[in-house]
Amino acid sequence: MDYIDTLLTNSDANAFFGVESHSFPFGSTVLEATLRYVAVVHCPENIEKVKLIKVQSSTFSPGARGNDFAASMMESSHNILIVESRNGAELPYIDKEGWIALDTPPYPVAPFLSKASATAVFLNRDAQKVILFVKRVTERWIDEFCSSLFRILPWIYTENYRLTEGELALFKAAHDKDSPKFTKVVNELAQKYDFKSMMMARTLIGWNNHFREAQIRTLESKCDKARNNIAAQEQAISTLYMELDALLFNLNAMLNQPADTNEALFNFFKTHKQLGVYRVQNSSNGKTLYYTITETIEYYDEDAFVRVRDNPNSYFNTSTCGAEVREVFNAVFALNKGKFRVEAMFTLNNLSSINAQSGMRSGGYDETHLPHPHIYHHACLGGNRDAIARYMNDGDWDLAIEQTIAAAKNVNFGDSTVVSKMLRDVAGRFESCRCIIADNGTEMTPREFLNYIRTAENNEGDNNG
Amino acid sequence: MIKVVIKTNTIRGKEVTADVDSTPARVFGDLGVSVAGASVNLNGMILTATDLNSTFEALGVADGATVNLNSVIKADGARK
Repeated sequence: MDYIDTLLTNSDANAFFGVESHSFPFGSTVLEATLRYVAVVHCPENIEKVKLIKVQSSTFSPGARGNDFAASMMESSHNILIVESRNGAELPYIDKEGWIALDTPPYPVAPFLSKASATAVFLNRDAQKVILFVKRVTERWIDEFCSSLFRILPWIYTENYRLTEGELALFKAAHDKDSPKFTKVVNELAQKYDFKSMMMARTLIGWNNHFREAQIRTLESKCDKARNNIAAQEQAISTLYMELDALLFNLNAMLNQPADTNEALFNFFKTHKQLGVYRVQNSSNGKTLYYTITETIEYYDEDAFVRVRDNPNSYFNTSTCGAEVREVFNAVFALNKGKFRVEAMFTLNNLSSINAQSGMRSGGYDETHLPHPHIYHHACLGGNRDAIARYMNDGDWDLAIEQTIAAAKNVNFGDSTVVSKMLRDVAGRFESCRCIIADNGTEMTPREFLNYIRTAENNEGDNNG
Repeated sequence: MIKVVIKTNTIRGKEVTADVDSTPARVFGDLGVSVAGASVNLNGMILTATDLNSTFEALGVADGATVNLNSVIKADGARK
């Protein structure tokens, strides 16, 4: 059949299907009409969801390999590839896995089409692909091809499928080259659809959606940026609130101070013999008083010491401090034969805060006091810190200093790191530092104290003996 | 008589009068203040359990004097 004009291939239908007439395979309206007819008949209820059967045309030259076309076809979105011979090339063959030749019953398509022009037909059913190698594509061959589509497209025309009257008439008209009949059959189907209206509806209904969706994306992006800005500002405000809290804390401490603290502070230091003024430092932030505390360690858990002493694997027994140091510790903390004297350094800032100072000593007590193990080595106040902060916030700087004195009188045997350092400090000053007040009130070096308790033990043994 | 200025966790600078033969423990007891687990000092002198039950006179306070009697908590020096 030559050119035909049907309602399935006119400009309205072309616009609806999104196919231009110049892109019809081999320029054939018959082939295009047939393919669209089949697609429309077999599409779901909604014509908008019709899936066209796509045909691609190509050529092959002498030496072309069928398997190469098969591989290429698997990458393509087309269903049918019609490849025409050039320069008298012989028909290639496909023996790739998944492909079968339609040259024998029940699908003797190749012999049938070869009556019009030598043809080899190969099908990949799973991939829904067909490749036809044709010596020469003629009008007659196309008509026969159209009339045999039900044998070529087995994923559409399954074994149990019964052709509709329309399909039977269409394929027969193609085979008979009966243009009027062919056109009539096609138009009977096509006139059920108003392609022009459907195209207009598709185009115009919601034509603003693209703009709307773009605006939504833009606004969503701006919302995200605004949220991020809010989060950043909230973070900044949170930081400012924390700064404000710290400032208010110091302000409260200042407001709660007695108006004239100089004399009160002087009297406090005067009455507390364990306190000493090391130095005063002036700065733009006010005055910082460095003060020392010289005290004896009396606040400790004796049971905790005994547990550490009696555990052969404890830091006390694995320390390299030596047996003599351990003997001194036992005499002090278990037998209460004496007390260690320690020195700790603190700073008092404008009567608004107190801080323990690590690594600092006044120099005046190096020969008589140990560095306080918690404060000198780690500036650690433990549970005293909260109490000191609370007192300072309430303006009770005197109780806060009292609390630092209480902290200086404490050692915690649960803190292996700190007490291990204390053991080493005693070992290092064993002969030189009079850091122990014995129970007779005499200040002694650890060596003198060791001799003292050993002598006392011997005397006691002699008396008992 | 002596004037005792008391500061504790709950009492801020309360002034009471006491006889020199009274004791720090009695003064705290009259105020309903427990000093168990506390570090108590009299004019900066840390008081032992024995000192708490000693008279002010025995602790060196002269009749007519004003003294500070402070009590703070005993806390461990280690990090928790």
